Amino acid sequence: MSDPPTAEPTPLESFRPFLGLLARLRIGRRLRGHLDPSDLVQQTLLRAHQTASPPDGDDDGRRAAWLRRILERTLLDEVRRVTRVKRGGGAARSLAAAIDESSSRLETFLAAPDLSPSQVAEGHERLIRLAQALEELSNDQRQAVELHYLKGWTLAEVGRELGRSKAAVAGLLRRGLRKLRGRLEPDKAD
Amino acid sequence: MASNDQNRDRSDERLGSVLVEYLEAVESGIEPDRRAWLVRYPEFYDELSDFFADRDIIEAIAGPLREAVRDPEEDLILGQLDPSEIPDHLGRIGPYEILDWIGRGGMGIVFKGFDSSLNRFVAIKILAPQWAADPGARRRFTREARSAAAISHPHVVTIHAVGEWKGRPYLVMEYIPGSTLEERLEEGGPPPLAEILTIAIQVASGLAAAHAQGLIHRDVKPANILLEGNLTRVRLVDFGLARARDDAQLTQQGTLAGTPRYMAPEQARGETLDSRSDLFSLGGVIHALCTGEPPFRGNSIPEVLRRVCDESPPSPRRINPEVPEWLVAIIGRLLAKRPDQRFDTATEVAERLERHLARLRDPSLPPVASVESVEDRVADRRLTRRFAVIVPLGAGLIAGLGVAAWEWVARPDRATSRPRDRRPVAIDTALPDRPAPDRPALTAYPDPDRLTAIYRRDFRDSRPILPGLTLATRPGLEAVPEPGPGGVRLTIPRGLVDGIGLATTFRISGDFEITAGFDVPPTEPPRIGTGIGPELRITTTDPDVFGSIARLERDKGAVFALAHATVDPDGRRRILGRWPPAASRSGRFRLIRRGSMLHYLVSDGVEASFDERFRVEFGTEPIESITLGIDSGGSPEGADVVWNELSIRAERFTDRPLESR
Repeated sequence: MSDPPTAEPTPLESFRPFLGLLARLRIGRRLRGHLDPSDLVQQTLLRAHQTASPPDGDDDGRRAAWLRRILERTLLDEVRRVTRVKRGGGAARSLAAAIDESSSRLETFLAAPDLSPSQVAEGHERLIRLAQALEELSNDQRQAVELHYLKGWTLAEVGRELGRSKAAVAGLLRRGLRKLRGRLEPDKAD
Repeated sequence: MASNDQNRDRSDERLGSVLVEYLEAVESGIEPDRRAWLVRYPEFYDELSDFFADRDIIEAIAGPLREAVRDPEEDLILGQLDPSEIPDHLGRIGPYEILDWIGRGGMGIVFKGFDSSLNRFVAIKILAPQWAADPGARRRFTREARSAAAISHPHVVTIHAVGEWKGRPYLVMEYIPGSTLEERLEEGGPPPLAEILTIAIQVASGLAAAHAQGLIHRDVKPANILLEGNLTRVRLVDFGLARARDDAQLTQQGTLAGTPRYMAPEQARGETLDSRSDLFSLGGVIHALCTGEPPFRGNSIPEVLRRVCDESPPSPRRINPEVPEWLVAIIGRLLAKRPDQRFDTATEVAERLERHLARLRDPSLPPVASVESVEDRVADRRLTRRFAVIVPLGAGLIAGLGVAAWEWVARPDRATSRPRDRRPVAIDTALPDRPAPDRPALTAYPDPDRLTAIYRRDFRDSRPILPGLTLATRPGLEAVPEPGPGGVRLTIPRGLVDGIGLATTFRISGDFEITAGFDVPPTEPPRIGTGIGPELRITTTDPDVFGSIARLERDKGAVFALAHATVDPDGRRRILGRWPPAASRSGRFRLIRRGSMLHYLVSDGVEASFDERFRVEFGTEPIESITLGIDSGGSPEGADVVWNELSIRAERFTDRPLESR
């Protein structure tokens, strides 16, 4: 979406990395094994296509904000669905409440009422850029950076997840950050 | 080049460990002084400088994002688990792999786990970390484990083990895939009537088992009722609030524990509870089964409690007009404000619902007497005591279940009082798909030093059955015992629906051990008719209190089908039963009373050892008579059995006047 071929709005499909990042962020350990981020993205895009009224204009930031809200709704529906088939009304409610709560925290962070529309769009565009930059990392680097920086996992936890030593994870983080920064700030290329 | 690569690898390795040191310092909560690191590791000055700068850039974006998507509960729930070696697992608790988080209830967190030593899934409930330091919480949690582990019943969740991990108690239960009744109701609304009854009967029988152990559940509600898979097989869970009935200190605390919407008024007021408080909650559950809603609702807890205490429950028919009147009446009785206006026992509720279910499935069965009003019940009790009728259900209810047609008596005064109203009584449900419960271990041995009174008869000597025994039969029944070389044969002629037996003429006091052996005549396969089928019994005293022992089945011989009926102090009959699968053409039964507990044991005739099948709180009253019997079980096909031995050891025998004399 950085350089659309025509004046047409960016196709929804190209928001996939952005939605993927959000989905991975939103599916915590309690939901792992029950929800797959790529399914969530797929369903979100499906819903978006079926929605009659995408936001006006070709502003990526605004469209991203719109898609994010659809993803949040889809996520909440999915959480309700998957927790219902598991046992425990308490579990379902607790998860739904947690999802709901973090959804509104995310909303506050990205689209607080005191932000101007252009600020909101800017915030989303920044997330889009982050998502695209993450896509360019190696899989291990991307996972290490996401888990450690975006989800706050410790080195040891990331190491267990990736089957790597802590030193190896530290290496992945260092090189991943380097590359990421290069993509986010092209003028300071590595 | 090669040497450069090697150097770079070594350098990377070293840089890696420096970064680990730095990142772990950050994780421990101290933001290290970066300049000091640059000074300490001059060889990595450039790399470290870049790394710090890169971190700041990313952190500016990631920090708020991380905070926004954080799930504080996840940290609480999963943060303290031991790490698992298996990538997709959430962690470990002691020897158990934690696969999934199932839920949260009261003070506990529930996980789906895997027990690798036994290769099975388990549900693990562990005290939540925030309660770990609270001794009261620990005590309550541990008590749940103890309470629940004491109950072994097909409709109560099985506790496999209890443990402690990092100072937090946990209990390991059977893992039951499925949903809670609460979820089922939220999704599907009220199920069909037969399903409502099936679920309610199972909950009631599970409660009866808890009550038999002296436990009150105190938090019976749809969320604590698990439905396995898509079947309507029910298990009662969460004895987190369960109290021993005699645990006065804890029941008197007056603290509000339980779910307000299903809570009994006496519970809402913090008064002393008994097992009838669970019956109130059961009434609420059945109401919810019929309507999808709890009976008492409100916008706040105090409002709900006020309604629980003061308002009569709304009729379930207002929401679901298809609820039959008799069920409305049963729910009404269960939801009575005063415990003594409710049913007395969960068993009674289960039996009553079973009769209705049987009739639902087989409308040709006689109608079930309607729920009595509170005033009527006094008269009914007298009736029950005097006539003690146990009439078989048709085959419609539970095919092949041993239900007694045990009406014959040795005492003429009883025999002349023929009951007018044959009331069907069912025994604890055994649905066809229900697996046999695990055999309980032998829990009592008689003390031979105390059992000095001995009566022993070997019937294989063809002698007349006297002394000490008399034929127990109804006047006019022309069955006669036939002594023979194999024992004494009792035959119920074809066409007669009745029972006969050999009854002791003496009374048995104190502890005892009674053993009786039987053969199912090999020349003539046991005959089965349209009723429940022939049945062997030892009755322990008059027909109010019986122990049913085995059902005769074609080609199989006797299928041990223990059941037991007794009468509560207030005159209500309780019938309890177990249906182990063993079948045999010959075998022995044994009854052991030790203290007030009566134990039922069987031996299949091949092995000399006895298995305990069942035990029940029986009381210490002398036993009027022991009867070795056979009963047609409602079948007109007739039946026969050969009893070959009777041996009684007891603390005391007393001659009792023979009514037939």
